[in-house]
Amino acid sequence: MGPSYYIQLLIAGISNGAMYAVIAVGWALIFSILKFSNFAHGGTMVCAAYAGMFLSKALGLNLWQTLVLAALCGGLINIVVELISFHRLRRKSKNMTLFFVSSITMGMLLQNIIALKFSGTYYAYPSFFTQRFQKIGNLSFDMANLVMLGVSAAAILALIIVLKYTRLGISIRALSMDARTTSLMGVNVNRVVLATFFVAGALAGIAGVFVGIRTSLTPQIGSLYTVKGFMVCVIGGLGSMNGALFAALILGIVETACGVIMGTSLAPVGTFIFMLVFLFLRPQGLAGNFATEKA
Amino acid sequence: MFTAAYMGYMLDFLIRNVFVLLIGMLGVYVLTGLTGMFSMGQAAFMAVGGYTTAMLSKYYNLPFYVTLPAALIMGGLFGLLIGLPAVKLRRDYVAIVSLGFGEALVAFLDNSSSMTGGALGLTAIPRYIDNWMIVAILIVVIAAIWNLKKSRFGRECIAIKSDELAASSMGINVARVKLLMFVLAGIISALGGFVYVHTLGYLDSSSFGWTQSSMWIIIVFFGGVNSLTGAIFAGILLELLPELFRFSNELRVVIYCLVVLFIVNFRPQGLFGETELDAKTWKRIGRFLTGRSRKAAQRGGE
Repeated sequence: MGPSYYIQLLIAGISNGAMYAVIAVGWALIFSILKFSNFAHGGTMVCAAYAGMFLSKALGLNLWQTLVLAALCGGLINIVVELISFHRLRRKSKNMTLFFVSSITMGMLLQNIIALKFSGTYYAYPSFFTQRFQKIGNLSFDMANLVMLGVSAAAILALIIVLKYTRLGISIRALSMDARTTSLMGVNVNRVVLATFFVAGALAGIAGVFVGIRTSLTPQIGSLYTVKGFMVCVIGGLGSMNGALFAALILGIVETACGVIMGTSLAPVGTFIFMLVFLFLRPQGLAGNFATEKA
Repeated sequence: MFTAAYMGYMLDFLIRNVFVLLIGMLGVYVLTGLTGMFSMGQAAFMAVGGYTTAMLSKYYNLPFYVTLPAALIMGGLFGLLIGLPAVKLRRDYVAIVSLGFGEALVAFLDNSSSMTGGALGLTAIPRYIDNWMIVAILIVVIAAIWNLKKSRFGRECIAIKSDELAASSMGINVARVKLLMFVLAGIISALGGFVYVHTLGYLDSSSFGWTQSSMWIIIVFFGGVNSLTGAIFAGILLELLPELFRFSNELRVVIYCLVVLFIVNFRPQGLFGETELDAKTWKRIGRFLTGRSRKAAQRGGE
């Protein structure tokens, strides 16, 4: 129980948080352009995780190939999600409630299609790592956690670069400010929205692979991580990327700490109380200003 | 297929399963249908009522006239607890607070197994509610909500739902109304939990999770966001059909979801919309069926 124990816990918490960050950043991306919370995010994640698992087993892929394929699947699934559940709504209706119901329903649909097909048996990813733990000095780290930390950081960095420097990124940022002006500037809004959904879905796919590696795959991880992603976004301040990043790290650490203090199965109680207290003290979230609601 | 035994079984199923869940669902109706707040943990309030009843009557052998008020008070208290932060926040934050509450409560119930039986649940609880009592309780709750909707308070709720800012500028205390609604919804769902326990004689935490709560939202929405009779109709239809066709639970959810996506896209006001199935509507339906227009009816009356 020396300091090394706590350092290991901290690393575990941070890599846990890094995974939440990948989920939450995708969520924040969609919120920032469409101004509503996409509750189908977890559904996309679980579908992509299953798809990645079957592909990697069928083709005998290594971790990196699996990640790429799962990200691709996640992106494509999310495009289908957009076309089915939001495309018509975006043109016809301005009612927040409808977006809410539509996204929740879509998430449940995706999760239950998986449950319908695969709920009988447990699936797990093939073990990608030859050695499960890495020793550095007298600290030992879970390889999956380290790789997850690295990949999450890389994915988020890539996203930041895309948002800052590419044409697509600039249109996404413009769209998040004002949809009409953006379309007047000659940007094809529909295409940008679809591209955003693809990017968010790809991030969800990457997160899904890591969830699958760390635990066994069940359809229920969809709703579980929908809850977590939403919590992170709310704590971070809805629609704010930076807020979501920091909130994800905080939540990851808090959850790991709660797991140690109260036991893993009671950790949700701890994180809920943490969130409640946080929202009571700072209802606008970490980022500070409320994102404007879709009128 | 339509033998007397089968019909009897279906009637029993309708009352013992559908009607009991319907009581819990009406809690969602007053929150979502009337006030426009999304509680995604409403089933947890049903669990609060159910577990309060079950533990009191199992461990202390208390009769129902003690456990019923206890369950309702607990439901109301938890409603107050969740409502206090929720009314301060934006609308989708209400969803997250109630969602987190629901998940945390289920986790808590699963883990304090010395009291709540953990994931196995509590069994052998006295069952002293028969079918007639369920019907009576349901009718009382529906009548109460019907009157509430027509009252001044109900109209304030509907005003808040359509536009919070306009409502508060008309002198409605938005936070107070919302908080009262949270308490009321908690009490109604806790009543559902009380009935559930004493009907089935057992309960476990698995039936009170996120899925149940969002199913209720879907049902209310399907029936028509502002229509009490629509919500009841949708509840009976959507809970009874799967039993008729013997779907598996997952297939049932898949079919629900497809139906709701269709409705969201093509009939966004829900099945009944704003219309209530009251005497006026029945008359209109009657006129429609007999082919007499309103004018003809007026001429006939002269």
